Amino acid sequence: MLWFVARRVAQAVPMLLSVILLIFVLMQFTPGDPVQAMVGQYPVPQSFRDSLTAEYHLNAPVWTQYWYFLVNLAHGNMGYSYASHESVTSLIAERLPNTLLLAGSGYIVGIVLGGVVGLITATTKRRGFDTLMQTGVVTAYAIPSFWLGQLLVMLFAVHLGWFPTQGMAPVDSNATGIYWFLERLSYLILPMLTYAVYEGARVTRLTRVSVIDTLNQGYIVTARMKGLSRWQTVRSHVIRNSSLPVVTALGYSFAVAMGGSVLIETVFSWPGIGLLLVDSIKQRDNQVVIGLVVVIAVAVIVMNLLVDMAHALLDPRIRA
Amino acid sequence: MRSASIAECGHEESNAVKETQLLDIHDLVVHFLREEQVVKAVDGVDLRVKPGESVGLVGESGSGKTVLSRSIARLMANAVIDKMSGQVVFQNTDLLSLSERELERRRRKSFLSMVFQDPLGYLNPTKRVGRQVAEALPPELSRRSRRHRVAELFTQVGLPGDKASLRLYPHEFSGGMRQRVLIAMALASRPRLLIADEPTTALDVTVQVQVLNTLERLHREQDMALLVITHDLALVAELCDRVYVMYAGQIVESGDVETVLSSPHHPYTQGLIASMPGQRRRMNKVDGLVGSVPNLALLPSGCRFRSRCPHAFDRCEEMPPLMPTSTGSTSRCWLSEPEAEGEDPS
Repeated sequence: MLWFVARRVAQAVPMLLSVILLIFVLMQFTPGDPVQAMVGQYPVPQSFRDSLTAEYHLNAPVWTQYWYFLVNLAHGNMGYSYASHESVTSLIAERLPNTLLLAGSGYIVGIVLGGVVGLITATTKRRGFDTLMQTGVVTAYAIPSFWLGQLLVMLFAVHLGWFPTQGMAPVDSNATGIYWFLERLSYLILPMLTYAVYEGARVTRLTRVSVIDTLNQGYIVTARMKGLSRWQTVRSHVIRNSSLPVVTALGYSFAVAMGGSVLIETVFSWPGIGLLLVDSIKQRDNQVVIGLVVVIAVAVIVMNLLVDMAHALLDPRIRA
Repeated sequence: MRSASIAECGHEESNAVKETQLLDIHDLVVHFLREEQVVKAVDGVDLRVKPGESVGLVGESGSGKTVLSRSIARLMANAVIDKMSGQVVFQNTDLLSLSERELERRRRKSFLSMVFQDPLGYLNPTKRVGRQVAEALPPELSRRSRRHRVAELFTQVGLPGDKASLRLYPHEFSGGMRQRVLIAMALASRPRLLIADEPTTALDVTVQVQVLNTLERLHREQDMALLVITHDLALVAELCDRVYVMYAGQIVESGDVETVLSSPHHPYTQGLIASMPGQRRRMNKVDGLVGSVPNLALLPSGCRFRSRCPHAFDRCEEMPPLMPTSTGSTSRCWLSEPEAEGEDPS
């Protein structure tokens, strides 16, 4: 198992380097002059422009720039934002936990909901119940999350006033302890639900298909022959075996969620990296964009690593 | 008229010997749905197994053997069954009338067990073999006696019963060893009848012999009846006392193994024997079988073997009943009628 993990980590390093290179090269082709972006709308002397160009090595060959970038990255330095002159690392470090909180909680709620509903619909003998759930799931899956988010805001925040409409916390708050937690939770619930509905629908579909597939396996017949009850069979032979394809898809979808939380973060003005990414692209703030893409790429790679490890834990055939 | 009286005779005989039967299947019909067609996989089968007896069920692929065996053990998926009627009397209870819950209870104790054709697919790949076998034990056993019993079962079927072996996964075993694990699992409830569905088909020839020897030893030592489902007549000759030959959902011939193999009455049985390797030279008069089993959803009228039968004649448009033959076996062929034997055109 240890050897398996070590091998996977070693494989991840060249992958990460290639991703960074690819992003770096792509950014060279994006239109717009970064010097102009840095100095803003005001006229500045040419000498100032030249000094900026020299400071950021903008005239150096791409390979040299890539090298500087890598060296800086190794020191935890991803350059400075052209727009705000703040350190990219600290900009991202400030926003990343917010996105992880939103995507992570929505994700977990979605998985638990989807897993349970998927398992029930796949094993139920009541066809009517299954059909009803299937219809609900397809509907939930088809609703665009930004629209669902707006509907939730209109109903629960504007109309009923149960939750705040947007943001992560009140501007001025002196709540402490459990009250602080509840206050934060009230801000989290709507965006998290928006996320969980979509993720839950997805996981339900995956789980249902996978469980039905598992139920058709020979060892289920063996389990019945042994005299195991329906629930014993599900617990002992179905849950673990049918979770494999679901786990695979989960790793991928978490990665998508990291970058794709843009829409939900925009609807709820949630100060996460999705919102930061949109703003940076609009401002041609290339350093921040590159930094964000690197972070998302690392998240994808780490998530894949975790998925591989989960696979190895779940299926002894992979451990070898 | 004649056929009706014969059928009646057979039924009376079955009533007389009912007490001594372990398994008594009467007029079992299992039709299931596949692509909106009714597949008549089992169509009026009578079959009996006495306690401690070894019985073979022979037929080509697609003749309904597996569906029959699964139906006996009540292991068919309910969703696909279109029609199921008749009786499967095991230990004086009609299994078809039992509820799922009652079946679960009985399967744990001295019931009937099954060994399947594909040991890899019928073992859970993510569970240690020891635990899979332990699952089949009665739930009231203590943890310790459970472990002890699993080790005992392993040694019974010729597997190492040490702790390390019990902790292995199915993929770490060879095909023959996996089949032994399945057998150990089937034996866990101390069954009175073991149904083995093509137990050696997926194995190497040398391993086949070993697994068969194990089955035979268990059959003898534990006085456990065997119902061996196979397409291999040599295996039946080796292992069984009596044999049923199945074709297109029906029993076409049955009797003592020696009688049926030495003087087969039904042309299908004759063809099967002629198709055995090594028999081809000795019986060069009769060719092996040509063609294949008809689609069980689109069966012809009359005798179902008609289209492949070298002796087919006008009367075969009418379905022949199972009738006693001169040698004491039964055969579903007009040519097997004792007075018709003389006019056998072959």
